[in-house]
Amino acid sequence: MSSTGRTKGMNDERRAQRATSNSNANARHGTPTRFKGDDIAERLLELAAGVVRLLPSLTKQPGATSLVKQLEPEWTESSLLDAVHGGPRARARQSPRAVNAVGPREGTRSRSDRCTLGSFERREAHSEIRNLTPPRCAGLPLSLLLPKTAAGEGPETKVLDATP
Amino acid sequence: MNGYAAGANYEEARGAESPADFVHKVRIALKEVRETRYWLKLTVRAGLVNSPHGIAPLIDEADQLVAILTASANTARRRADPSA
Repeated sequence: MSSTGRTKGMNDERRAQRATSNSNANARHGTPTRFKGDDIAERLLELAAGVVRLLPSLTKQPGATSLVKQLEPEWTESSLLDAVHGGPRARARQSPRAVNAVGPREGTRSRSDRCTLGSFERREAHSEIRNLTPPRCAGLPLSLLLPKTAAGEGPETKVLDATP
Repeated sequence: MNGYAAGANYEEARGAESPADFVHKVRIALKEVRETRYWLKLTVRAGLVNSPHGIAPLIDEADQLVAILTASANTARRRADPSA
């Protein structure tokens, strides 16, 4: 490796050493350990929090929907589908322990059932979610976004009712 | 783009695998802050918020962060490749 090639492992190791050496001093003085870049990270976090706080007031404004999507595109079709079907994003956000703690929601399918959804059901769920704007989706419980059940009843009607 | 990608990208930069990787990721964070600043300015210009004074500090903060991240990326680039 070249002289400029510091590895991530080395970086973390150095941080860990500094944290260990500072821990006694911190215990005495009660100050948290600060690392290089912490202040910038904190300011970026504060900027993001400011943007998030701004979003509710923007959603009330007519014509601001596309702008809200730009500022907060997390509620996209794919992420909603992931949330419904337990896709990669949802799995990444929710640890197995958290899933077990919450348990299955009423009216939802089990984890194994979700894995066996057919392409027709996925297309149907996709078309339903596409008709909803992100802020409106964010307010709805997850169970309302599930595809139609085999009996032909289920949350689909409620989703359509919620759409003006 | 989203309002909080900049912080996420900066955290990635802090765990970079090399100085070049650090520079690259800081520049991505920089672009995100620039874009966020643009959208914030647009909300004010289009009159989409009732009190623009609430957004002014955010735009000012974004301005400062653009300057900080630009300087950080340039410094890291110089250290990584002194000949550049």
